[in-house]
Amino acid sequence: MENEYILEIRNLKKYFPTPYGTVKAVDNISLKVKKGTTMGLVGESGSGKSTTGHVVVGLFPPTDGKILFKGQDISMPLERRPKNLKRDIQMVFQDPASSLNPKKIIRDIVGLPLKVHGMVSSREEMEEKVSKLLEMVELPPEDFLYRKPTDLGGGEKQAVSIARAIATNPSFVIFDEPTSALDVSIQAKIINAILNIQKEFRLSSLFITHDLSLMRNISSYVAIMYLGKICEMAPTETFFQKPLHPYTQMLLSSVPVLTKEEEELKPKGIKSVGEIGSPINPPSGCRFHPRCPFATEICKKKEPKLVEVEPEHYVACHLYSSE
Amino acid sequence: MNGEPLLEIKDLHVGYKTHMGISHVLNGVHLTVHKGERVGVIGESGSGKTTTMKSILRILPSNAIIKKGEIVYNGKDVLKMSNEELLTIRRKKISMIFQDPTSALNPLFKIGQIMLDIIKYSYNLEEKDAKEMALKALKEAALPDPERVFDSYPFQLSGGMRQRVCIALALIGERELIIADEPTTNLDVTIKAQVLNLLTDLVKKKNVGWIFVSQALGAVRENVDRVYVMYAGNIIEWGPSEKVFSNPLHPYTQKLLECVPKLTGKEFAKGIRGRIPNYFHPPSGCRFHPRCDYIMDNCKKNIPEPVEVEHEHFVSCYLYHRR
Ligand SMILES: Nc1ncnc2c1ncn2[C@@H]1O[C@H](COP(=O)(O)OP(=O)(O)OP(=O)(O)O)[C@@H](O)[C@H]1O
Ligand SMILES: Nc1ncnc2c1ncn2[C@@H]1O[C@H](COP(=O)(O)OP(=O)(O)O)[C@@H](O)[C@H]1O
Ligand SMILES: [Mg+2]
Ligand SMILES: [Mg+2]
Repeated sequence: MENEYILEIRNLKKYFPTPYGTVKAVDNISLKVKKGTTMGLVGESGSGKSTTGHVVVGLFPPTDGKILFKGQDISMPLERRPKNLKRDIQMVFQDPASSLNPKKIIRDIVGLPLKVHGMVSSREEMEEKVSKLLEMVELPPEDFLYRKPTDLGGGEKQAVSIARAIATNPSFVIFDEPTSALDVSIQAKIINAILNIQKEFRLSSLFITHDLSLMRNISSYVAIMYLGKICEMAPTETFFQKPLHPYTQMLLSSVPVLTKEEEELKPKGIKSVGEIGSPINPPSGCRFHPRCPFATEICKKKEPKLVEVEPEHYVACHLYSSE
Repeated sequence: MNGEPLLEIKDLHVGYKTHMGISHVLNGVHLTVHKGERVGVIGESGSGKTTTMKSILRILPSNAIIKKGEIVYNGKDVLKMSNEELLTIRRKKISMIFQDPTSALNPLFKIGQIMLDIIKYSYNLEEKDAKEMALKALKEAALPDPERVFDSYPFQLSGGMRQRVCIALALIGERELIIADEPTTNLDVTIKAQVLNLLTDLVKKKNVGWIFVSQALGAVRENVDRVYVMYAGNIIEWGPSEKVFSNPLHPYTQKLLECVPKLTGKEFAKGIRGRIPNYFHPPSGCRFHPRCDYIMDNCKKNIPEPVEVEHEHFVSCYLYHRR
């Protein structure tokens, strides 16, 4: 039987030892991404979103748990990953400026992965391929091939990193807040390019963002993270019809919106209070309990399991566990 | 609009001297704040929002040139004030909250010391009374444990807490106007909501005027009475917040709002063609004309006079001159 999931993360942990104690950045999460879909990963700063992405792309090996890509275990350190997998999984980083070599021209930046993976045999061929890639992200090649990143605006830099990420024709791309530093009108351009690329390449992806409105427009599934854990996961439509976890409701109620129609979607009767705790000494039981208006004794003592409350809709909260 | 004007900026032109020549940034900015009124200023990065705000307190960098204009505060032109008058205004009347709370708080001093210095300097108080004032301000800013915060270094506090400290400082004493320049840009969604709720509550309670500068359109819409839209150094549209957001008039405002992803998942625009002009050789006439879909002959020649299209809702655009 053909595997329906392109990526499966099972009980993944990523801990970082520090002088102050162990940071449990990702603490036992499981999720699956279906072929051709986008999973949105949402949560506050420090919840472990980027770390999850970094482990999947191979920047660090997991502390524990398994990552399966197209059914194949890729939990080993990057050096031991098969080369074709390195080509097949790419990442667009949070900060476009720091991920581009300022001394190189755009042609060489975008062309580098093509060379490394032996996908071009001459300079002409490389230039031709890079031009096509630049067109896909709406940077006219005649203007951009020979410029350096320092001459570009934030949106243009991010477009270059996207062109570089899709150069090797990957089947999976992790987008880590690709537009969080950009103006809305420029964000709109970049997102539009990403949507077109996803269609054209039949790309699967993990899309990390803080912005629930953006997430709704780009992903088919959503996972909400809080302090290294997943607290809710569902198909996007289900998620917006029935956000269940109190943290999810708090997030939704905090989104500033532009229209009355959107206001209707914001849960009433829950207000944002408190702050995300420490990943070194996370709160006992449910990690959200100190901020939760519905917390009871059990929430302080026992960690809730992620349970399927309706098809494909998972939530980790004692309010919904039937025991 | 009800009430007397507290601040009136008229026809402000500000440029910057650089090694490439003079950049003509502000091109006739005007803005009015009444007593106790909450006013928003929106526009993309580089549109001149910060330049305008810094002009009010005359804290522009040394290469700035104020070419023309008036900034009337309580009946007196700030641009013509003596140093002494200016100091009184900075110490007691107007305060400013910046985007980055870290840079506003000296990392080498405890919060308490920073606050005491400012309070003693502004109000000539004894240590004991100053401390009382500081603790009261921290409590008002909803900081849990004011005593502990008072005794902490900035790095020991979270970003949200640091911004609350800045709010506490900004609201000390009998302020008349608070200028907040992107006060929540670096904070998480839930913390943004908390900080903005706090600011609006305090501003209302103390009946001070408030200028809220932000690129976060939804946040502005939800928190102000009136809003000004800025494009490339000009105010192109202004009016009651509800009207501007539900019935945007200027082609730029319309496009900008369409670019914002919606929580409902409804499709959003694919960006605005072109980019913000360079200020060394800005476009003649309406500075938006090179990017506008409705361009007419006049648009290239003159800056359009404002038109009141509905009650107190103004736009500066020739499309509304025809009727
Ligand atoms: N190399 C590292 N060493 C130590 N701690 C780390 C390291 N990388 C991340 N962390 C910690 O792990 C936690 C999760 O970080 P991560 O960057 O994954 O969060 P995030 O959800 O991407 O946040 P943001 O929205 O701010 O990007 C944080 O507390 C962070 O400080
Ligand atoms: N000290 C300076 N010298 C030269 N140009 C400057 C200086 N400060 C700001 N500018 C320019 O002025 C324009 C408006 O900037 P700013 O007022 O900071 O806009 P905003 O706050 O709307 O992002 C930008 O093009 C910016 O690069
Ligand atoms: Mg991150
Ligand atoms: Mg600014």
